[in-house]
Amino acid sequence: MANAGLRFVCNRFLRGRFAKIQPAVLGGQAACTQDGTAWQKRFYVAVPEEAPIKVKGIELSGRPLYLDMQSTTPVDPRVLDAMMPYLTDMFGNPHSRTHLYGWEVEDAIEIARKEVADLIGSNPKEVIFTSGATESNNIAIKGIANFYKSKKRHLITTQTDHKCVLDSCRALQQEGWDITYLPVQENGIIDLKELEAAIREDTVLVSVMAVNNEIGVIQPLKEIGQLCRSRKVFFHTDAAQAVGKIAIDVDDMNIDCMSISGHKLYGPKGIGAIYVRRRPRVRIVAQMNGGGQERGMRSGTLPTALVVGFGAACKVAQEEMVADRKHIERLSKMLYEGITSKIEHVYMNGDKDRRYPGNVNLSFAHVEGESLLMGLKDIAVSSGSACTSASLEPSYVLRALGKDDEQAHSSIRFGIGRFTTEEEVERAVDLAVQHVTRLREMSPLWEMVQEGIDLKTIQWSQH
Amino acid sequence: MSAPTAVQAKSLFRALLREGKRFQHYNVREYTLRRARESFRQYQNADEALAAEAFTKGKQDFELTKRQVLLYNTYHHSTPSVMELKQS
Ligand SMILES: Cc1ncc(COP(=O)(O)O)c(C=O)c1O
Repeated sequence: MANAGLRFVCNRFLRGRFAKIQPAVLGGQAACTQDGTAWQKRFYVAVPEEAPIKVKGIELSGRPLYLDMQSTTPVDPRVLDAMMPYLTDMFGNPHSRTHLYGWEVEDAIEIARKEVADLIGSNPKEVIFTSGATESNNIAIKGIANFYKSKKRHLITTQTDHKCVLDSCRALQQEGWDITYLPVQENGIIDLKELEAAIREDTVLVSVMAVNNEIGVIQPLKEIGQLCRSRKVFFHTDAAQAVGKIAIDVDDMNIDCMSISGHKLYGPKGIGAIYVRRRPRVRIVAQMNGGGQERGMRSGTLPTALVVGFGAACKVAQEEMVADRKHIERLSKMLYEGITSKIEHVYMNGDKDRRYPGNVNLSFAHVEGESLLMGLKDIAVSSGSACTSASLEPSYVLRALGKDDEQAHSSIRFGIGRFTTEEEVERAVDLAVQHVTRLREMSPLWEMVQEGIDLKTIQWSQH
Repeated sequence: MSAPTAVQAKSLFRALLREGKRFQHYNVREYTLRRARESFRQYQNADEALAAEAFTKGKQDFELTKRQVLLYNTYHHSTPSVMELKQS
């Protein structure tokens, strides 16, 4: 039985990887332990003969090291621990008012609401649970515009905001709204004077993301908030990449509306929140009609386990913020310096200082991004065609920074987080250096650069 | 709630490390061990109230780690992380 089971495991997952292992070892006691600890430990020492897994035509020797924390983060074990009871015993509908099943989960939800509120310095009543930042952004933009449409008809956002903000704005444009898409400077940060000049009598909302998902730059939230308040315009910020990573205080920053996502701060996917200020009051038209949950702003039965997990993630983020920050800053520096000290013509995209260090977006001049990504198959990272990875379109964010298509295509975003290890960063540096060097050696362009023909270089070093 | 003796603190620390090492998941294991070491270092010379608080939290973390080791290892992916393969 042990052998049959093992053969199945071998065939199913490991292909010929352990071809060299002696049958004596395979047949041994360790091979059939239920949790797999023992046999895995033993087999790590075996040198793989060939790649054990093949996914989408790519052979991988193991699960790649994960450096794509802007895309999503793993669920923290403390979060999972908080969620489990609500996936087992406590399955009640939090809106059931007539029995224990409803009451116990309603309490859990209110605790989670407070945990979210505490992290952003708001009142729990101002926190509305949604399915994530995409939904929150839609509610904020369409909801506010719809409510104030009799008096206002202008909105401001930036060219580097997230697709879901830009698309919500496009939808309003179709309904006759005027939208200003503010450009950003070369460092990815908006010019406050341009923002001020763009605000009109009929402007209802300014929506500027807090931390950019592709390049990690932090917009001057406090200054934007002050400006908006003084001009009596609402300020919404998409803080999906910011909350839990950098300090956010909605009162201090005069934020009227804010989008948060659970899965960017080590919580589960499919949950998030929108902060909606009560004083001065922000009114929105609900985008989801139904049972009137969440003060009528977002109908639908709340997913208790996800809400509890999201709350736990916020609590952990608050407790761990200093430790996370220290760890991430150290690894970020190690990654950047490790790569730039070994290869030349590597540029960081976005402002060097006003940034969240867990996002390191680098352009490797004179290499082709897709080839580099293929070379780095042992690392899970995103390229300059980031978010909409399905397309090979160069990133609109990098374009907005004034980068040409080649720079955008040769860019890679390394995302470092709470669970990233020093060894992973060291490995990433080694692999990046090795593959960039290899690709450049194959490139006739690089040869020209080495010979001092600098027609391309002039253009590319304008940073 | 009183502050732990040095022996109690050390024994909890060792138990946490022992339990954390059982995570088969590379990143979760390394994180658990790193944070255990960092916090014990951080509270080593803390005053009584802080040390007592950290000790209580540490005991909760230990119980949580025991539960999560079970859960994570039950659903652990059979393909190892590249970080656990010998570099060729
Ligand atoms: C800045 C930003 N806004 C919004 C989103 C979407 O968040 P969610 O997946 O929670 O809908 C993301 C993540 O992809 C993001 O990075």
